Amino acid sequence: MARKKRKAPSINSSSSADLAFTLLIFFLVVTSMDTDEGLVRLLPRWTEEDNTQDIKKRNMLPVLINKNNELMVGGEICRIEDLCQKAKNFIKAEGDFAAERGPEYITVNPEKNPELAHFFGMEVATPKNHIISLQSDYGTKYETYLKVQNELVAAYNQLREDLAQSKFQKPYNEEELSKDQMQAIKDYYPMNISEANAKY
Amino acid sequence: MGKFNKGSKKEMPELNTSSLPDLVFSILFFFMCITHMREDTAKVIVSTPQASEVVKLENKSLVTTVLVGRPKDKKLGNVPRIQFNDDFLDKDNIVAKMTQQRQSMKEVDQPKMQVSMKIDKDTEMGIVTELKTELRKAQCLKISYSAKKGMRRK
Repeated sequence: MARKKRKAPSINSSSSADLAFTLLIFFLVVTSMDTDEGLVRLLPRWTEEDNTQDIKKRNMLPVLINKNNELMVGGEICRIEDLCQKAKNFIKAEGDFAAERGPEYITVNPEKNPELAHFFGMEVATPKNHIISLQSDYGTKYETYLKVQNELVAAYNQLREDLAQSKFQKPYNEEELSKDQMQAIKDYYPMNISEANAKY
Repeated sequence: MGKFNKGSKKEMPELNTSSLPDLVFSILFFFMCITHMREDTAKVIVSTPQASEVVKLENKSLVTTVLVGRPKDKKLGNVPRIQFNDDFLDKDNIVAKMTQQRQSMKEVDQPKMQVSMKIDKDTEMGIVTELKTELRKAQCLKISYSAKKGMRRK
C-alpha cells in the first residue's frame, strides 16, 4: 500500500499570548524595582579594649546630639542648618593649619596615595589629620542623627565639588571624572567621621 | 474624476497577531531577569528618613538588609526590634547570624559584604548603637544607613 505522507497537524498557538501575558503580569507584580539607597559608612574594626587614640583637640570637631535632639558643635549650640557650613569651615581651616605647621605635614606619600601625588604634586596641604567626632545619646532620635550625618556628608561633597571644579573644571561625579581623578579628590578631602559609642 | 464607491464594503485588514507572543515573551524575560524575589516580609514598621546625599547600593547580591522598628504585631510590644530575614534578632545572636549570612555568600564576595540598615525614623539611637557595635564584632564594617532620596533644605 502506498503510504501517504501525513503532515503533523499544527498546534493552535493562539492562546500562547494569553499564557505569556499571565506570566508577565505575575512577574510585574512581584518585581521590586526599588534599589536601596543610603549613606554608606565604614565602621572601625572591633577591638576588645577601648582604643581611644590620642587625637589632638585642635584636629577634632566634636558634634554632640543630646536626647532632646539638640546639637552642639565645637562647644557651641548650633542649628542643624548651620552644621554644614561649620563643618566646611573646620575642614578648610585644617588644611590651612597643615600648611602652617611645616613640610612634614603636607608631604604626600606616593605609595599610599598615588593618585593624589599624581594630580596635586608631592606637597599638598590636605586636611588629612582632621576628625569629626559624632556622638549621640541613647535617646537621640534616629531621624535627627541621620540628618546630622547627611549634613556632614553634604559638607564633604560640597568641598569635593569645589575642588573638582577648580582643579579639573568638571563636576564631581563618576561620569565626568576618571577613576583616578575621583580617588585623588577623595584623598584630598578624606571623610573622617568617627561615630563614637553613645554615652550612657 | 474621482469615483467614490460608497456602496462597496471594504473591511479593515485583520492585524497579524502571530508575533504577539514573541513580543510578550521578550518583555516577560526582561522582567524575569530583573526580578529578585522578596523572601522576607517586614514584621516591623519601618519608615526610613529622607536624606539628600544618598548613594545607590550597586550590587544587590552583596547587600544584607536589617530592619529596625516597632513590631507590626501589637502583641509583641512597642519596643523597637531588629529583624533579619524572617525573625527577630536579639543582641546576643546578631554576630552569629551575620557570620552565618557571610558564610552563605560566595567566597570572593565575602569581604565586600555590605549591611543596609533600614531603621525607622522614630527609633531611638540606643538600639542603633547596639546594632552597630554587634556588626563591628561580626566584622560587618561596610554599612549603609538606608534613606530615601530627598531635597536638602537650605
